[in-house]
Amino acid sequence: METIMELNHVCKTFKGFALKDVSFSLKKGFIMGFIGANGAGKSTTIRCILDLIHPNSGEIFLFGEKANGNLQALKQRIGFVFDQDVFFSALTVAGNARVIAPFYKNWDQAAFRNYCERFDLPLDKKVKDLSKGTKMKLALAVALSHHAELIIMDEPTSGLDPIFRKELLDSLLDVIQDENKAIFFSTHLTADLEKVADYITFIHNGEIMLSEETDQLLERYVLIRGPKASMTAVQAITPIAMKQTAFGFESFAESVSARTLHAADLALERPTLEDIMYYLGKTGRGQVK
Amino acid sequence: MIQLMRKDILTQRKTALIAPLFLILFLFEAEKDLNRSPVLYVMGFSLAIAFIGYMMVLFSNFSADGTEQNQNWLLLGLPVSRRKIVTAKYMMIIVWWLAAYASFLILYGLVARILLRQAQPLFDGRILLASLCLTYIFSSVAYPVAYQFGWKAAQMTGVFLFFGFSFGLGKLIKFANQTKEIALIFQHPLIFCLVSAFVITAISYAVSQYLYQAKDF
Repeated sequence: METIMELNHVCKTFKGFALKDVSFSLKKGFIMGFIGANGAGKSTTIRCILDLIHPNSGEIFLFGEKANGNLQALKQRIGFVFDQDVFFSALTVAGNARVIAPFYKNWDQAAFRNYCERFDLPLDKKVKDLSKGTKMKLALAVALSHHAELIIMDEPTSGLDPIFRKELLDSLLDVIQDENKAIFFSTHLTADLEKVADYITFIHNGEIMLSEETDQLLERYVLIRGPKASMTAVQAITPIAMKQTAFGFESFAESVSARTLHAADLALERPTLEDIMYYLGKTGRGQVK
Repeated sequence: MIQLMRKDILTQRKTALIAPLFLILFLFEAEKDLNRSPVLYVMGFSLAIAFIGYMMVLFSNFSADGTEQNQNWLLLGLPVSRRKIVTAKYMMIIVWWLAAYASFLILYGLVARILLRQAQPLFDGRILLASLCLTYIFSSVAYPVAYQFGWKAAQMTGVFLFFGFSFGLGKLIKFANQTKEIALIFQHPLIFCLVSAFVITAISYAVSQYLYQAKDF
């Protein structure tokens, strides 16, 4: 499958923060979730991809073409959603579409109206009077209305109610039915990603800790719970993290090493993405793939 | 480019079109002084129109709700180059000058009629050219400041520049009789204005391009 987006050794230094050697790729036909704590570098990476920030070094390829500083034509094929109010607040929803539509060769006004109907977006309401969630719906409607092949979203689900979050995820799954498209989105709400993301990329302190298939990632690690008496046995497999709880302990380990454990009083569970993010982030351990 | 200019027109605040009212009443008051010299008459009205044009440039860029950074995110997310974004801004100066001139003419005529005053003939080639040059000079000073420090700083710079220029012009006229070089300027004020506008705009455009190309958003 063809690679639609690729970052090779991208570095960017700011005062007090740096993106360090960020490398990962996304293939057509897939959704990639981009996770990490606040300030880990998710938005900075997305801004590098969209050329809002100039990386100090490294290369970014979009649709197979080197994108550094040469994005004008490539952006026709990219839809973006930022977690900020980027639209013209004094204009209505329809007014914003009138301003933005001429920039895109493939703008589809009928598709925009369909998305507005589907997302209950009031065309005649000014953007400044919309709630945060509704502004996010507008951003999504705009991103999807010019038949973008790559959709890049920064925290699209933050500020959304659970009903629209579900609708948003359904919309993304609809979009990805076209195998020539791909979606890259960052979020804190990792439960959403478990439902839709084919790949997960985890960034921590400006460094990519891992980038791999969601199912493989969820199977690669295991949560072990048990009484204090069994702690020694678990410590023997050198887990990634271990902490005592009121009733015993909880440990986070690689599934391969946990297979050697045979104690009957241990409960082995598949971790959530949140568990993985928490433990790998906390311990600073990960494996770049 | 056209899309960017269209964007500026569609997002312009409607209040910008009635901005000339601020200066028209002042001009009626200053009419007697301005009529004393043809240079003063041309420069006085040109300055007023240029200031309105400059205000329109600011209105179209400066967002009261503080979303300047976010609008750069939107623009740079769209399929348009940084170079074109800056070029469109400089192209739009002529559009805002034209809007300022037109709205000034209309409102000046209306106010003169209401106050039963004799309106000055403002559709004058010298005022047209001088006001255009001055609009470019004010805006060209403001743009690099805006790209480096933001529109709030540019707004302040522009206001200081306008009053500094108005004050400086008065001083220049006083010295014109004493200094040969300055007297030469007043013999050919339009050529001086045109050359200054061209040089300042060219330098400003190059600096703005450099700043905007290099900036991280």
